[in-house]
Amino acid sequence: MTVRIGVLSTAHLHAEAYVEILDRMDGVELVGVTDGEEARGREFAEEHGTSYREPSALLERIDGAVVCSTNAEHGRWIRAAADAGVAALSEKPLATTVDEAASVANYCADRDVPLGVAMPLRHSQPARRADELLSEGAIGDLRAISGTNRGQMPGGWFVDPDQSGGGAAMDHTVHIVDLIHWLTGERVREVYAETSTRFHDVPVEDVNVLSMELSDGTIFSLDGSWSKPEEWHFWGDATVDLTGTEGTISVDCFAETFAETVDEGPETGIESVFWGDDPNERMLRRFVETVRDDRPPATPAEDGVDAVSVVDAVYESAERSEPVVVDY
Amino acid sequence: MIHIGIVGAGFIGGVHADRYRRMDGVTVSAVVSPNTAGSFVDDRDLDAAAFSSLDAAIEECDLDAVDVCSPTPTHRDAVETAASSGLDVFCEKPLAPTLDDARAIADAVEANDVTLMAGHVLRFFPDYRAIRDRVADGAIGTPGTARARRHSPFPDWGGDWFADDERSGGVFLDMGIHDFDYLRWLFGDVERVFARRRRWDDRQQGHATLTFESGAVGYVEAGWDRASGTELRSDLELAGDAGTIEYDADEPTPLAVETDADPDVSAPETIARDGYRRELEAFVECVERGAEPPVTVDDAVAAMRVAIAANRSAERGVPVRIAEVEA
Repeated sequence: MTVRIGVLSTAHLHAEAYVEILDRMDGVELVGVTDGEEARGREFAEEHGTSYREPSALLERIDGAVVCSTNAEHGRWIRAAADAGVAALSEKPLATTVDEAASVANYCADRDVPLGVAMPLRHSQPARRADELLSEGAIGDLRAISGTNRGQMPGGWFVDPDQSGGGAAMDHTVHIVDLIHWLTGERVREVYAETSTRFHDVPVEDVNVLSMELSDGTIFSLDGSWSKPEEWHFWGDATVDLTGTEGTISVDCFAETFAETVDEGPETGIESVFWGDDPNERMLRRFVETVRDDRPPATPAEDGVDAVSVVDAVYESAERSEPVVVDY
Repeated sequence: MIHIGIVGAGFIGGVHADRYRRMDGVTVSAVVSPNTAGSFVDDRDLDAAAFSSLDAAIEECDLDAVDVCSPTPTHRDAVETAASSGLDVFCEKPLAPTLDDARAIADAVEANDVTLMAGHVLRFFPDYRAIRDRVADGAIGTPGTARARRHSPFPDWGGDWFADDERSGGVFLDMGIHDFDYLRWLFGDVERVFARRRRWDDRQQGHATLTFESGAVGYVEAGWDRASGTELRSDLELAGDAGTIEYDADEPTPLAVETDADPDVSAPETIARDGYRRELEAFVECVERGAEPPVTVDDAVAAMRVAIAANRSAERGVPVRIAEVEA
């Protein structure tokens, strides 16, 4: 069976990578894209050699939808997919508030339509090996975790709080938090956050340094700042160091790169080029299986809601300058 | 010739004795330790007399300075004894286990008009120093974030005193203090600290979030948590509004040698990352010229207050302002 996939909104940068992967994936027909801003959607479709369709026309023709809208609009597109009986994979975070995240998760559950959240790090091969090692007890009992998910300031709607819901804390908390929730089976119990705006002249925070504790007492720190300069050699990073009673595991999801230096053309300078197993491709393949084989999503909506609960606590802690217990 | 008395016959005392041996114009004349000064001298083939008390060493040897390398709780006694004899002092980090002891040390130094240099050796490692110079030159612009990490196995060479918080101050005061001092040197004073710490068996790991008075945010991670026999590892990242600096101290390999015969190859001194040597050279220069030390008592006390704030925050579960850390 060929699975028919469409992309709902092209606002998010990731739409580009997703479309390229889906276009060449066996057993998948990339039906096209739609967008709340028709001109943007048509331009995107033309650039990537796919079709632009009106939302209802696209939803009629697809089995699964990848939602690449602004954070604030995820719910609108997910509900439209659910109304059409179309399974959805939503960009992260699922929503900008925990109330909206829970509401949209329930909306899909009530209609029995699968909803997953795009958490590519769960599909990163070094992270999956770490998961196996943890289950085998390779490092004993977990005691401390130190993670990073830095990036360049993405600009555009990401720095408009009405569309993004916030800055680096909204954008770069959930990837590593979700990965740790998944790896450990625990939840972040408490968050202390230091956020501020120091790197860029933007109306949202770009510093996001978190000190957390998991439900089993493991201490867990995360730097999820937009601290990488425009000229940096890669888009950012995703790392976790896990310390247990009998050893340590260090995961660097994007370590597999080579250096490329270019003198001429539109993009000059030195770049690191990732050559490892692509987590986005694994994630999208898994989404196709969710649709085709009726498998539960790799990152079910309720896990996406839990990650947003942590983000809520991050903003509350930053506001109150004290640690906050996460309300799930 | 500058005559040094080393107090403490442990790991760091040995590191210092090896460095003094390679320096011109300096000699270790006395080693002081309750039980093991004699074997320390013999094992290293030093031309030094062994003593069980610093008073006796000062009385019998014509010392110019004392280098305090003994366990942290004994620093105060040693510094007070040296200072009251008018001797300049090098004192290992942390200066003391408590701020009371640290103040007594500062008072003794001031009252006797001697020089004390604190052993924050990171400032003398050429890599960390070069990074500091680039930051001071504005390479990263206005600082935004810092992330400094340092891990080693539990220091089991000193008996059990490192495991006792009362005596060592734990991993924040003994290990994290390197990076607390270093980041203060780069970013200025710290306003508040939030920290967490876990302990298991003889191991521990601490995470401290520092908010500087400038508004910059630092993260310091310190662990005595690695498998026994592994090397110390450290790395550093700094980000500002104009750029970043990233450094893994374990990465540079200026000389790699692999042969069937396994010869004894040591790196030439020009590429040896020997901060200890540079640190002790700076101290000897202070002793010779009476100059202001590059790391003062005040610097050492300020770094201690950050570490103590981290300990208190980890105990209480709330952020602690440095201004509140008075005792």
